[in-house]
Amino acid sequence: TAQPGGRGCLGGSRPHARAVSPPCTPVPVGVTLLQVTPLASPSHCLHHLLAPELKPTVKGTAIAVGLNSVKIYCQNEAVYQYHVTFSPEVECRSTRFAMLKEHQAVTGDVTAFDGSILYLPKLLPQPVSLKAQRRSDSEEITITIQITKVLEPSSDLCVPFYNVVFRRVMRILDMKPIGRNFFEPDQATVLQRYRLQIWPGYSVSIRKKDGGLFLLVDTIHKVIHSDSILNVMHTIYRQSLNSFQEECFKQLVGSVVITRYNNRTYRINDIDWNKTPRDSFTLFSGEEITFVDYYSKAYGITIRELDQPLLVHRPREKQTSDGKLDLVLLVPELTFMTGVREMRRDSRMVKDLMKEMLQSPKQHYTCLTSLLRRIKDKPEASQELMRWGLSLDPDIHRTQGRILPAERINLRHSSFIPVKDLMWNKEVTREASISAIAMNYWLLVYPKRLQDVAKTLVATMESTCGPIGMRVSRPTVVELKDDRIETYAKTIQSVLSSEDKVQLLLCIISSSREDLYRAIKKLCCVQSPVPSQVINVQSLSGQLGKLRTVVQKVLLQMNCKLGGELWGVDIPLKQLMVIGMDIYHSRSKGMRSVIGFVASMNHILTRWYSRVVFQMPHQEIADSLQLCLASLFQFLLPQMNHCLPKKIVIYRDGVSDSQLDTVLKYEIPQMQKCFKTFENYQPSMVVVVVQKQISTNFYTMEEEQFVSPPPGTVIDHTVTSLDWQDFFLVAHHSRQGCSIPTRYICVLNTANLSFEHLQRLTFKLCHLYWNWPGTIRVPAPCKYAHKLAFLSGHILHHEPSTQLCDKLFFL
Amino acid sequence: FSEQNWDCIYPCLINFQEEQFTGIAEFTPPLYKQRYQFIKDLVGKYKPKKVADLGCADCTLLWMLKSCSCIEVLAGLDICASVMKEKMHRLSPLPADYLKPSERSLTVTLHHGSVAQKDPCMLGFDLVTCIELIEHLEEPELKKFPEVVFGFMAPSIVVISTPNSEFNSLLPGVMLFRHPDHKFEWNQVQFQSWALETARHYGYSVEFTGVGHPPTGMENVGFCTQIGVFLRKYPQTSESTQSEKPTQAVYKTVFKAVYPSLKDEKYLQNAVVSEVIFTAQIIKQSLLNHLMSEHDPTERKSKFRPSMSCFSEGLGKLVVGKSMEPFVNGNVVYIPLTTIFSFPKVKNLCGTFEKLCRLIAGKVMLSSDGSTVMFSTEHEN
Repeated sequence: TAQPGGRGCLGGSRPHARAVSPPCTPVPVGVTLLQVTPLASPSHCLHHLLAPELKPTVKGTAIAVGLNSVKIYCQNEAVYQYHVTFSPEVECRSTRFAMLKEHQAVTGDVTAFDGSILYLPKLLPQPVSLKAQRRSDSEEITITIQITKVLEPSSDLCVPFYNVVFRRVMRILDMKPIGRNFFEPDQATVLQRYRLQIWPGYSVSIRKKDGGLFLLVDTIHKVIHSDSILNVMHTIYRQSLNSFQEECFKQLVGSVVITRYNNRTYRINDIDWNKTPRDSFTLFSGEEITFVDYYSKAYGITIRELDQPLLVHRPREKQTSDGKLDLVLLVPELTFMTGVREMRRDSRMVKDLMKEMLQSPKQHYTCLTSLLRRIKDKPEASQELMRWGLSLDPDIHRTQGRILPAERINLRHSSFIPVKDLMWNKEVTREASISAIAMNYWLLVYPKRLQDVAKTLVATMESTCGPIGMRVSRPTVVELKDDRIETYAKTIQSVLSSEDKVQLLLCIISSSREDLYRAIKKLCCVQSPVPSQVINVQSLSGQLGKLRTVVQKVLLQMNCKLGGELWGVDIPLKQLMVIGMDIYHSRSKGMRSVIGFVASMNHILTRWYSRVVFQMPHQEIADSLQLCLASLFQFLLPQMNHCLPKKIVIYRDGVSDSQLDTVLKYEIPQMQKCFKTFENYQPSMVVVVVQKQISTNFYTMEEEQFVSPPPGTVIDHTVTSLDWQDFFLVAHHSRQGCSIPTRYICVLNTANLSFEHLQRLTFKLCHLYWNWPGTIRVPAPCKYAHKLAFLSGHILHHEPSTQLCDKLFFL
Repeated sequence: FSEQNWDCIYPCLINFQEEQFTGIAEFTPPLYKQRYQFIKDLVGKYKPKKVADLGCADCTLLWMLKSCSCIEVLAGLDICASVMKEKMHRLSPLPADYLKPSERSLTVTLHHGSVAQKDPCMLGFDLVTCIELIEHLEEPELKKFPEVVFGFMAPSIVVISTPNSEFNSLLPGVMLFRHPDHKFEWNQVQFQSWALETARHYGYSVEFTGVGHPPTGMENVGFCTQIGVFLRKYPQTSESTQSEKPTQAVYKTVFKAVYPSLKDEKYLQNAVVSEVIFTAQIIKQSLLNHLMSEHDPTERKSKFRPSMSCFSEGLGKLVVGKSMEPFVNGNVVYIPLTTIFSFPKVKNLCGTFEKLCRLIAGKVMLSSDGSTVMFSTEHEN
């Protein structure tokens, strides 16, 4: 069978399996009803599940998993697609709707109509020609309904209006729509201390997946302020009279609000201090009306304070139909803030909020099944679905996943297979790292009053560095007279400019101050490039045992920053390079996005090259990518003895589904163009998009209880995409709540890397993030790229010096 | 894909807002809006608590009326369930209604049924509106209609509107009736004699008015929509209501929404606890600021001055004449409940001091005798 065009072959079973089933094969009636077993769709799924037996090479143990997807059964034989024409032409869509509605006797009362395409669950005798009278001018209109397609009821063409139907089901259950999701504010948890409420809710969508039609359902929460924005402003006013406007801007701009009069949410982009509710705006009809009058007339709402400023929301371009960017002005009195801004967060609040929102797999499962039960128990709700012949499975979908084989962790002298929760904290602090850089000449900077802490720190470093194979000489001590930023900055600057052999700079600061941190990092990453470590003195307080643990971690981190290597895993692929990419988007207006780019430089993937590109808004990522690759190879050529990698695997974070095509059509060709600048260099490539924010979730059974799946659990069928080759992997171990898998979408594979090998490589990479002695959610290069982009975009606002490009200075 | 692109909502044959298609150019605001505004003004005048709209169609009038703060019960009735269902969810409480529950209670119910049938759910209303309804009724239904509305439901006020056929000649494109579903359209004399006879029979007085003024010089044509406002002459005696009313329900409830309200103890308690904590925090802050400024006189002028000026007056007034005053002991602030109760917002919510104590029990940290709110000074970050 042929490969789907434009996409590389993955080997493995998926592409073949998919090609077996042409897109619109009519499915015999009743087939869907038989698919109650987990081995759902006859064509691809079965193939997958049988694959382990057919191919003994596939590694990993089978594991029973429950998905947060609910099978949708289609009872109808087909859905019929018609084209509706009005002659003479009727421009107004609502008139078209009304005219077609009058012929319900012909169409039946179950219709989905967008103004020209009509879907019905029944076949109309052809041809259909109807008459209607246009009321505005008494013109007689001929409506012709012509059949265009007979669709499987599970066709993805039906999915958009199935979703409309399902949203109505949710409303029948008395759920409140906010944006795309549904909430139950009457079930709110009120956190009086913070004047916050937590509303439980669901995100629901019907999607066509490899395993057929599914309802994807997840539990969500909305955190919302009990006070109107006006009240929040009053509180700010009381607390900071002098910097009131500035403070309001800081606390309010960027947050998402809901209003008292509709179900919509708006992001606040600005505050207009010159406007009040007494100002006017122009209605759609052209009429000028004040905000006060408008809310009174349209919603019966009386605005009490007439001297409040107005909040400004700028709709994104695509949200306005005519391309004109109209501002939306909102009245603070009528709006409520959702979410918690970072600046207002304190650890206690986060803890209290998380306590309310975290759900164990069991609780999560209970929530999902209770929604299914409510739909089943409310006749109107299930009837609503049945109008289109749809019914929901009474339980979540259960199927089989695989646990990838455990990975061996290699240190300098020893290697081991980690225990079940995939943590190796003990091993890395007791045994020698793969390579350790001796700290012969390093600076210790601290304010005078922290003298004692500094002494203890050095002593602890000396006593703990031995087991991990590090050598720490006495530091050059720089004592500061106070802890003002200028003192730090000036001293560090003068020391670094007079000394050029400094390997590392260690700073102790007396509290977590972002401005001080920024000043130090700017000096050490941009102006006088040197690896640097900043320690907050609070983390050094406490008992000796705790201090030792902290110092061990700091030592490991410093070793990475100096260019040392902590641990590795077996990498069977030869001449391989792994690249990780992530993007940091600044929240503040007009700031550029930052692309973090990290590439491996040796075969065991323990040495990393890094590069940052600041990108103007609307600039193509592809340009920056080319730049990164070019500078990478320039750096590598002399080092690698002109022997460039033959296989390049790129993990790309920060790409949404809608951007996948852009990656494939623009970015990848740009990268390939870059290779051509080297003579006879044509590496094979694998490009994998990494998605963390996904709604797919799964758990596994353990003694009749749902629990989080063990790290290494992979699902590559049933809930996977019809259009892309993707799989879900849970690499990390989560102690609380449900662990959310990461979705990997392979958009290009010219390396002939089998799907199984790609999964295993991905899992291996999740072991290699040296800031965490365990597995993490994403491949290490992605996490490194993320750290790098964040440091550059959020702290430095500048590209770090290229002199640091071969060290993990950004950890 | 977008939801708006798909119109798979319940279709229905009857469109009650016919003027949207016909005479829209003739009237600003459109006539249907004028009719609704007429009802809204009437509600503003008579302040009914229970309002029913017969032939409520897509519930636009009910939606407009839900913001009238006097109304506690709203009901809609229509013969066509699907037209009601089409937009009925806009009668549901909005998410933000749960954040600031209103003081009044409000229940909105939609019934599917005929105005020619009696159902006890329609009893006890203050105002019943029949906007552009009667002209859709067949002869037998029209005959039963007065007995159901005036005899059985017997509200204090009934409003009936219907097209004035004399005006039709001024509407472009109207041949016989304004809408194909109309069974008749009356002229002014026909409507008024029917209304007067009905009013006389059931003990109501009736006044005639309308919306949609005729063009100057043609005043004798009358309003485009003629309206009769019926007022019951005598207060209804409770015995007559009880004895002769059937109890069998014939209507089918298609929708019911109960709005969150402070009448509901759950929401009242939330509101009271929130207000108590808010008030206590203000007092605490002001106390702490006061203490600070006493310890360090230089600080008073710079850092804490704004907040002091904000609170000292209010607090000063409050504690005057009270036997107990808020105070700080160690890192606990003690605020007597009586002080908190003296804040108008708290007082208004609870009414009585006893109710305050009952509502916050177990929700706010109190001293052992329950008379004082205790707050740790360390809670604030």
